[in-house]
Parts: sequence; C-alpha cells; structure tokens
Amino acid sequence: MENPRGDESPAHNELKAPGQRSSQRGRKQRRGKPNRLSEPLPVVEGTEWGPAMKALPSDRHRAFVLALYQVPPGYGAHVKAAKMAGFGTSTSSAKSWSVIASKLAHDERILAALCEEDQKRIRASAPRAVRALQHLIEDSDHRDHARAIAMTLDRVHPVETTHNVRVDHHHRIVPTTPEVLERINRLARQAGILPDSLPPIIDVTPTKDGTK
Amino acid sequence: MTRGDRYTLIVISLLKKALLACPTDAAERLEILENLNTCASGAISPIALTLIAPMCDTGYRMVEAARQLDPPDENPYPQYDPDSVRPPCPGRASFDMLTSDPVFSHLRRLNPSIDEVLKLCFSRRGRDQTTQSSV
Repeated sequence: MENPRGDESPAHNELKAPGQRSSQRGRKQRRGKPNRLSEPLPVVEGTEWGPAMKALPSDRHRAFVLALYQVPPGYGAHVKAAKMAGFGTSTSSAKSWSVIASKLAHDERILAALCEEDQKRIRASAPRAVRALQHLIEDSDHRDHARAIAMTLDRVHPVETTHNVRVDHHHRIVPTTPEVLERINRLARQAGILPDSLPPIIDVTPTKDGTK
Repeated sequence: MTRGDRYTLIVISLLKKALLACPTDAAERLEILENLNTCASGAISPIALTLIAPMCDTGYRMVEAARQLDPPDENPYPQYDPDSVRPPCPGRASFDMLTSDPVFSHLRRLNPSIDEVLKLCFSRRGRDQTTQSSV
C-alpha cells in the first residue's frame, strides 16, 4: 500500500514492540524516520565556537542558529531554519514543524547563542561599514553626504558639553545662646529627662550674643 | 498595637540612651530632642514619652546586632517613586527583627518601662485614665 504522506520509509507501522498493544483508542501511531543534519558542520582551523554556541547540546542546534542568518526573514523563517538544521522526522506535519521551530526559537540556550553570534557578525562587519562610510564621504552628490561627515566628525572630535551642577550642603548651625540651652532643657524635661543628668555640651560657653 | 508603635517605643528609649551616654554639641542635642518629642504622637501620648526609660547596654547591643542585618550599601534616604511596585525601604531588615514578637518581648523584659507604657497607651483602662488626667 502506498504511503498517503509520500513517506519513503515503510517503518512507521513497525515501531510497535512485540506484545505491545496499540493505543487505547485504537489509533495507529505513525512515526517517521528522524531527520539528520545533511552534512556535518565544517571545522575551520584556528577558529572555535563562542561559549554560548559551545554550550548548545548538539550540532543541529548550532546549525539552527547559523541557518537563521541564511533563511530570508519573515513568516516561516524559523521552520525553514529548523528543517535546514535537520530537526523533525520524515513524517512531521506542518503543525509539528511550527512547534519544533517555536521551541527552538525560544530556547534560552539558543537565544544566548544568537546574541553571541549577532555580536560576532556585527564586529566582523565593521570594516565594511567603515568602507561604505568612506564612499559616502567621498561622494559629494549623495544626499546623506553631510550626515556621513557629521557622523565621522562627531566620533573624531566629539562635541564637548559642560554641565553645571549646583550642590547645596545645608548644615544647621545653632549658636549656643542661653535661649537655645533653655529650649534644650525644656525639651529634655518634656521627654522625661532631667537636664542635669545630661552630659555636658561639647566645647561651649554660653554667651549673650552667641559668640564663643 | 502596630509594629510601627513598637518601633517608636524602641527608638524613644534608644534616643534617650544616646542623649545620656554621648556628649554632643548644642545643635545635635537640640535635633535629637526635637526628634524625640515628635515621637509622642498617635497612640503614644506625651505622658508615655516621659515614662519610657533609656535603653540599657544589653538592649543597645541588641539594636546594634539587628542593624547589622541591613545591607551596608543601603541608601538611608532613597528617592521616593510613587509608581514603584516595591518602593525602597531602608532599615527594613532591622525593623522586622526588632519588632518581631520574640525580640520585642526581650526588650520589654530588659526595659520594664515599655510594659508600663503599653498598659497606659494600648489598654482601654490605661487610655481612659490618660484621657481623664489630661482633662
């Protein structure tokens, strides 16, 4: 009988162990052959994965991260990347693919690897950006010529800004007049403290005008 | 009686201890006394303020130990943000510790005047007596 899904593998009905009953509802479980990475990731001498890429569980996960930079962005990009990385099985449905792709795309380890790869690629593309900027500066007819010059000058001679910060420090200076001492004694009595029991005030000679 | 009231009673006895133990200049002493007198508000009457005795050395060491629970880099004067879900609360850890039932009961035992104030301000009979005396 021909497989209605066009699956080349005839194994999907042979996965039941001997003596194992089919599912309770009598449905047949169809399992396809697991996909594989089409070819192992190339090893380039003198280079190695970053820590986040190295921490990924398999080469398929690394391939998924790399595939995300190759597939055109838009609807279905994650699924395409998952297919390129060899996830799923030969019988995975569209729904399965979307689940697989979503799980992969939201995996914390993959997100960390993507962040790492982003930084690498941005750093690596800096020389090209500089070259493009040079072209822009040299092309006086370009509409963004002035902006490019301004950008470059801003980085070479940044505009100096001056901030005037006013700091007010308030220090309470209480002249030790007899009135102040009287107020201290009154407040002490209100709080149930005998003024005589208080230790002497530091370095003070009460005068009429408050000078020491 | 709220935990804030408990803390106020602790602060009153602590400030009295500071006033009696540490020599200060006039400005400092005036500031401490003004702060001390502002503690007499709400349930804590001015009479209660006079009744509370200064904290003993053991109580002071307990307060010092509790204050070590607060993070050392904590800003004691944080900027208030009304939109914040959990606004900063400096001294929260020591506050919780000092006003907890077991620690506060130890402080009460060390300073029996706190018990008198509790009877005076936080029992109905005590409150009635205070009201009559003030009238």
